[in-house]
Amino acid sequence: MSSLMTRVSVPRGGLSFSWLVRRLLLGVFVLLLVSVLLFLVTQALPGDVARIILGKDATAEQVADLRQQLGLDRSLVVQYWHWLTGVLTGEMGSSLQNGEPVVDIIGPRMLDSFALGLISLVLILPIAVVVGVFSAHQRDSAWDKAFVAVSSLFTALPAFVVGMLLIALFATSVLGVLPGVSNIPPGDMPWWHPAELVLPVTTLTLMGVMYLGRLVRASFIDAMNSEYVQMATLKGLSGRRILFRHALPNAVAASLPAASLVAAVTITGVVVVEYVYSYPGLGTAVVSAVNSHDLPVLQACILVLATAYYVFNLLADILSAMGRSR
Amino acid sequence: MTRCPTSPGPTRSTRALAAVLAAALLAACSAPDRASGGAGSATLRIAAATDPGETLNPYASNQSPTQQLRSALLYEGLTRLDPTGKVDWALATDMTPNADLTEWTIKLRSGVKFSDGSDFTSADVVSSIKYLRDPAHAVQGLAFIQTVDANTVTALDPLTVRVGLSQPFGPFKDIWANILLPMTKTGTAPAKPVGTGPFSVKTFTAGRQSTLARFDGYWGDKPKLGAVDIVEYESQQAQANALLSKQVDIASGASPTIAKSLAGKDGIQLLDSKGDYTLRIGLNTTVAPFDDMRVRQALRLLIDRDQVVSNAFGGYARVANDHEGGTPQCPAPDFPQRKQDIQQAKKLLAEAGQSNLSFAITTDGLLPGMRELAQVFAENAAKAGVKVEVNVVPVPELLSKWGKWPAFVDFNPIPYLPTVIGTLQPDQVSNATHWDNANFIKLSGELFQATGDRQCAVMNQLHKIENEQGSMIIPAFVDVLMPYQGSVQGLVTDVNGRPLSFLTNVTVGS
Amino acid sequence: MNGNLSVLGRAMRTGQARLGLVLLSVVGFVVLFGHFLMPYAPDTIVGQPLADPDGSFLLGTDILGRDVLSRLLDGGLTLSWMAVLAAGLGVFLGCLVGLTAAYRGGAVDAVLMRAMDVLLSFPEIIFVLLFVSMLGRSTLLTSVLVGIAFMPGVSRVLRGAALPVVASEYVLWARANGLPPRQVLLREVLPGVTSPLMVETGMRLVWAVAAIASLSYLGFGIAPPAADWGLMVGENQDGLSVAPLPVLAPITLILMMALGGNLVAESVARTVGRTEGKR
Repeated sequence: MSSLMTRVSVPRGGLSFSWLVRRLLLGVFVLLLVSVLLFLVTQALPGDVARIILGKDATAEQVADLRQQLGLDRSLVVQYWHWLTGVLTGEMGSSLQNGEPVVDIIGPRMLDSFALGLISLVLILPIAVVVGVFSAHQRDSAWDKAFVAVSSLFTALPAFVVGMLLIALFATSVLGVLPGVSNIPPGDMPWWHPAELVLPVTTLTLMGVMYLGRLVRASFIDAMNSEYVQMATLKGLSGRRILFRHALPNAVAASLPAASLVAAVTITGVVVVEYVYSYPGLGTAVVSAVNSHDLPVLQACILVLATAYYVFNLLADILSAMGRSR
Repeated sequence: MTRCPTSPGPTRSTRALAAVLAAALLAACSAPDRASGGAGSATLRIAAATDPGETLNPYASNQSPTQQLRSALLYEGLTRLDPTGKVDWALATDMTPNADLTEWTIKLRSGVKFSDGSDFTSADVVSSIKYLRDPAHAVQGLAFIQTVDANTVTALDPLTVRVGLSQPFGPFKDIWANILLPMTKTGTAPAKPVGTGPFSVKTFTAGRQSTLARFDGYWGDKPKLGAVDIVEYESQQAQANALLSKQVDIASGASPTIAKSLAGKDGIQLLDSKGDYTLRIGLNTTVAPFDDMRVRQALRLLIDRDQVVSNAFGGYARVANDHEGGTPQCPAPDFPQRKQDIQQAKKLLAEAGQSNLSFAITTDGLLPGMRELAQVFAENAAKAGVKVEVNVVPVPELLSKWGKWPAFVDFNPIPYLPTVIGTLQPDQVSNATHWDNANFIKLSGELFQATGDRQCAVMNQLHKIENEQGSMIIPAFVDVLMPYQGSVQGLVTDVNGRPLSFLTNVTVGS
Repeated sequence: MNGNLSVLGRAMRTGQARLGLVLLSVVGFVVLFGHFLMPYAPDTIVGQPLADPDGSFLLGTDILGRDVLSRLLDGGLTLSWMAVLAAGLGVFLGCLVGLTAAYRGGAVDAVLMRAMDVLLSFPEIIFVLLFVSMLGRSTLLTSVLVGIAFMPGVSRVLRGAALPVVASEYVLWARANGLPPRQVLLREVLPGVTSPLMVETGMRLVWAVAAIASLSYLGFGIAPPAADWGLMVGENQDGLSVAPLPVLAPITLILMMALGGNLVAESVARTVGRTEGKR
């Protein structure tokens, strides 16, 4: 799991304001390229979109009419420009499936997905630090060994397996105390249905804590072994003072880049988790849009997810660069 | 029932935990109070398959089972099918033909109101038929009313409509029972269609959820339920989980395995609708070697029908004989059941020069049992050295190459007469095997002009042609399975596999 | 005391690696030799669906009435070669890009790494979903796509690891003496980054198993009626409450495979970290 840490690139030369600006401009450029790639890939999807909308009973003329109506016969460049300007002005067209504006479809779903991701993150970060530091502090105790073993297990488990087992345990087979499906009625805010959120949030949190807690544990052990802390110990400073004033801040700082990578992974890890719990977010929308070839919805969802993913990756880069320059 | 903020949490501790969580996280945001009214206004919560493409338009061109489930509660046709498959009067009370069956006079029911309170009259029937008949609208049921001449449809008085046909057509009453041909208020379709059904739309979000409220001005027996919630789920497993954790009252889609594993658990019961619903393997007669009848018959001899019933459908099916089902008035004839006969099949294949036959069956796996049927057949065919691959594609891909697949899994939920019109005639889009049988066409022409006992005799002959020369392997009639909470009373099974169209006597709660 | 701890820790570490190796060998044995031990052909319908385990079906039957044990013994091979191919391809491509970027520097470096950023913006599952839905489903395509999705991550790690090596004296000497870049990269730079390379390969292998199993579960991976562990979980989950074995048995094997790989890779990473820390 150390690979995620080292994935971060280092700025050559020191960290400066101009470096930051350049990094952000580059980020915008990369996002533009992402949109081009996404558009090209999706426009090449096989199957006649018009035929898919009209179904098997439609005639060839009806299909041709609809193609024209949707602008599918225009050149790719024109279609892309139209789409990009639409995205930037919030006019992302309408779903090919039911004619509703894409914004109306993915707006509420974005809220649902980000609510799920953020609640999980809010839980992951403090729990991971506490568990990781405690485990490092009690190094080689039964607790520590158990934590290391369990976290190895969880990092090896695919998310859908964790989800399925939690459903069987808490909702359907064994305990039956929580809803097994997390349906949020349209128009409702997800937090109006806390019982429905418990299992998906637990799944994401478990996976995040097991991963990040492990990194915090490693960083904390490193920090405790650092010359700085050893010096402080020699100087006779109290254990608690060393722990809270020196080792802890260092460990947290070292884990920060990884934490924002965990954030990125959590935001997108919602795809599988949403599917398992039938949660109405961007992930289920992507799977369903892929299946029904609803291009405008597919493009919008993936663009949102890719942007979120990229922003968190960028944040990881910047945090790590700041860490190094310090 | 209070839904917010704790929603259906079954135990007190969950509710407490949930409430604490809610308060801690977002104290300021609280859900609106949506407690529904008192006794006699219970809500039935139905789990259905997600359909992001659905609309409220009952004339749309590509309707999913979920949309049809909703339509059946909102809209009505001139006639309707009862749960035993018999055709009843609905918005019409009589239909009389002229002597050569080319012009029909329809008498409408009086005192019928649309759910917006306005009167249902002949003008609405005229506009609905004209809308349906307009090729530009590409309605799904168009094939069934192709003989209707839109220009001749006229209102004689507020309760009488005359319809002219381009060809003589006898079973006029049967055709209008199709769920795809309902009557709506003039000028309201397709955007905001208004119907005369026992329920009306309260809220609707495509691909997510809809709430239907009882329409108190309904002309027929009013339902006991106050409302129906249709909640959409990504998978049948999710529907089952929702049922188990009491988030819904009935799951409208369940695979045999799910039905078996849910039955009896926490008082869950199974609504098992036995009928003439077929899952079948289509063989494209324009593609070699399926243009050779010997090959098609050989493949029909290869399938182990008992194994299809027990293993692909978990026993919730009965063996079929390579023809579609009969009707309650006219059961299918009793000729010998075709059985697995590897030797005979090998012989036929050798005669056709196809001893090393190898092909792929395409399915989108949309309905439970489709994938399993193809797999059981592949396994059966291997015994005669025929290599069959199962090609699972997404729904859009199946539809986009519709009519081009050499072999595919298909389903048929409609009664025999519309089946003959819609899928067994050569030029219909639904006829994806392009089966074109001169005898069958001639006889079905007779069927369209026959009445009474003669109709039945012709149908029996049609079944025989299907059995001997058809393009489909039809191994089983499949049950439609819907597990439901024990607290739901009054559900009825339906031979046409749409038991949720009949909610009149359904109640929820102790 | 410190010495005691480190000895204890070392024992634990070797124990951990040993456990990983045992897990991997068990799974490896099933994958490689399972095919010869099957009581039935994996696709054959031999009984009623979801029958309980008994003398003739040691793990019962699956949703179609096929023998679970036979399918389990046959179902690891595809997943394994797909995971190996995906991880291998990802590491190879990532290595190529990362080392080239580090070696050439300047504009080449900038262009390559921004291109990797673009790819990195697509989460792995989304990336594969997108292309599989476009090009259709095939085992080869899926593993190639997973490999490509791994490429940006690997390339960033290896670029980072190669930068100090490229700047080292012996590489500078080789370049100054006009050795062709391919030889310099192969003979001088590559040996310098073997440790991160090994760690990456191990981790990517574990992730590939999880990703491919997840894709099969979502219905975009290995096609039925093939026997495959990920697919078995998806196929049989409808019957989880009446017959848990057809679901739990493949999950156990996937878990053993991923956990074993994880334990070994982690111990390698730790050993590497220790030795490099001392240098």
